[in-house]
Parts: sequence; structure tokens; C-alpha cells
Amino acid sequence: MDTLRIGPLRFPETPFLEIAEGEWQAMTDALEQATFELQSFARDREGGASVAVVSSAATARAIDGCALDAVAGAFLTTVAQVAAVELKARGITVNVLVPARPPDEETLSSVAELLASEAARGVTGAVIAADGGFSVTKEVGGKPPVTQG
Amino acid sequence: VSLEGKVALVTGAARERGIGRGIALALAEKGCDILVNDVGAEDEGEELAEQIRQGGRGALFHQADVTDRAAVDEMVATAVRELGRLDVVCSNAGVADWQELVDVTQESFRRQVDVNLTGAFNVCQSSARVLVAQGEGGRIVVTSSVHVQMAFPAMSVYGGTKQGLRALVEHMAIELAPHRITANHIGPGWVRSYINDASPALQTDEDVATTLTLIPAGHPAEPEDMGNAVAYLASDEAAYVTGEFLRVDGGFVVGKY
Repeated sequence: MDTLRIGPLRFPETPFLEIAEGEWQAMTDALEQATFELQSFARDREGGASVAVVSSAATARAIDGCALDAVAGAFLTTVAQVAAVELKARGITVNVLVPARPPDEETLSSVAELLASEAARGVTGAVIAADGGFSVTKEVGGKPPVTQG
Repeated sequence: VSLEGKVALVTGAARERGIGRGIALALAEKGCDILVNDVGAEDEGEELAEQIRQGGRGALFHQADVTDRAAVDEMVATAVRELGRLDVVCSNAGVADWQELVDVTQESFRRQVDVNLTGAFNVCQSSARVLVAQGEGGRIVVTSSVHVQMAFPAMSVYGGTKQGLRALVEHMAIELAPHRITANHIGPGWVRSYINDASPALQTDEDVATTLTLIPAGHPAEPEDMGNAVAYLASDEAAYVTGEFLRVDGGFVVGKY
């Protein structure tokens, strides 16, 4: 099975009001590179391939100060889902992994491997939390609505 | 709702049959003075500003490219200088293109990302800095799309830019809330607007009939429908609504995402 892994793309944790033009530009440049990497991979293949696009924890649910990561992950999520629809007939699956913050590489690679297995041929266009449960309680960052007592 | 005494800036607002024009007219109708922005369409922009002035509100047309940060900063400063203040910011300018991912050109990618995403960032950040300094709260309303909730083939890049706006709005909402500035986005479905003239799904009468079957309301929206939704989000009544998505699609994506 041919596989491609894109992301997670990581950018500075700059508050929205303070993001510099250059920081924003670097983020969109990275999106361009990622999008055309996916395009190039898809063009070269006819079936039996699996793409895992890693978004950001802040894409799924906002985390104060993480706008750049969130926007990049959001963009790639939709690109991946549309690609999943367009590439289905060619047997290429495209899925989105939502990482913890910070991303846990071991979890990401093992879930990507799972998605590239024969058993996961029917899984495409899915957004899957590969974060050890981070998204449930958002242990780091944000302001989780924890009920006390 | 009343927006009496408020000043709004609307980008991508000059052209006939455009969502931006619908927003500008609805806000003016509710009492706003308006800075009408567009990258081109100067005649239409001047005509719209005149129409708003005839209705008794202040208005001016300001040509600027939202992808040019210096030009955006100058536009925001012009709104404050010429209309006295700034209350409502409508980041609406956008472009669309239809290509499958394997066929997307670098030019098409750059144009959509630069205008839809970077343009909105420029407008929102430049304006937010002014609103924060002004210290009286404010409203940011971004035109996103039903693409935020539903993927459309041949529109990966366009959909990506709109999903990116969704994430941007949510982060603006968190950060700007202490300044009493709300940030929300509206989700047009099929609007009778010039941008949809190029949609492959709307080229023939048969296409139109097929697309209509997907819309429970049975007809496309008018640009003014978007304007009325924006007017609510821009109002004092919506002071506690932030980080939210208001879909205005006649039920189009209900049950489809």
C-alpha cells in the first residue's frame, strides 16, 4: 500500500491581533506546498493508496492563541474531504487525523498505519481523533468546562 | 433590529447581484453609514454609495484590494476618518473556482487563498486593532459558506478557504470577547449572485431545476437575505452571540452533512 502523510503543520502560537504578515504568509505557503504534494501523489497513482492528513487540535475546537495552526488544519481538512470524494473511484482513501496538543507522533503513525490496512479500505473522508482522548477533556490549553464536586 | 448611528465597512460590496451589496443595503436600511469596498467595479460602487446617501445615510466607495495589507490599513483608516468611527466589519470579498484537486493550478490556488483567506485576515485584523483601540466593542461578520459543513467536489480549495475562515472566526471570538467585540460568520448556500454564474451546477435550465430540488425552500436566496442575517449579528441584540455560524441556505445542507 502506497501511503502519504501530510502534517501536522505547526506554526507560532501568536495571538490573532499580533500575527505578523510574514507569519500568515508562511502558513499559506505551507498550505500550498501540502495541497500540491497531495495533488502530485494522487496524479501518480491508480488505486491502492492511502493518505492521512493531520489537522490540529485547535481546528476541531478553538484553543486561545492557536489561530494559525487552527486555520491551516481547517483548510487541509476540507481539501482532504473533497479529495476523498474525488479520488474514491481510483481507490485512494484520504482521511483526516486530529492530533492532541502537542501532537503525539506514535499515535498518529499507528492510526495512519491502521487506515492504510486492508481492513480500512472502506474508510475515507473521515475525521478521526488520534489524540489519546485529548479532544474530550482538552487537558492542555483552552478553558475546559469541568464540573467540580 | 436598529443599527442607527453605527458605521460599517463591507468588502467586496460594489457589484450588482453580489452578496456584499446585499449586506451593504441591508445595513444601511437599518441605519448604518457604510464604507463600500471593492477591488474593481468603481462605477457600480459609486452608484451604490450614492443610492445609500439618497436613502439618508452616509456612504462612500473605497477601492482597495484586500490582499494588499497596506491598502487595507488605509481603507480602515479612511472609514474612521470620513465616517467618524467603526462599529461593524463585514469581510465578504471572495472568489470561487471549480477544478478537481488533480487539476488545480497554482494560479487558481493562490487567487482563492489570497482573496478568501488572507484578504479576510487582513480586513479582520486591521479592523479589530482599530475596534480594540476605540474601546467601544464591535462586530465582525465574515461571509463563509455552507462549505463549512459540507464538502463539494471540484471545490477543494474554495471549501478549504471557507473552513479556514470558520477556524479564524472562532479564534477571533475567544480573543476579542473581553473587548466586547463579537466575531461570527454567515453561511450562504445558493444565492442569486454573479459568483454563481460560473458554477458548473447552474449552467443550463436543467442544471438549475436539478439544483433547486436540493433546496427545501424551493428557490435561491437573494443577496438581501444575507444582509438581513448580517444585520442581526451586527445588532446590539446579538451582543452575546460570538464564534457562531449562521447558515442562511433555505435548508440546503440540512440532512446532507
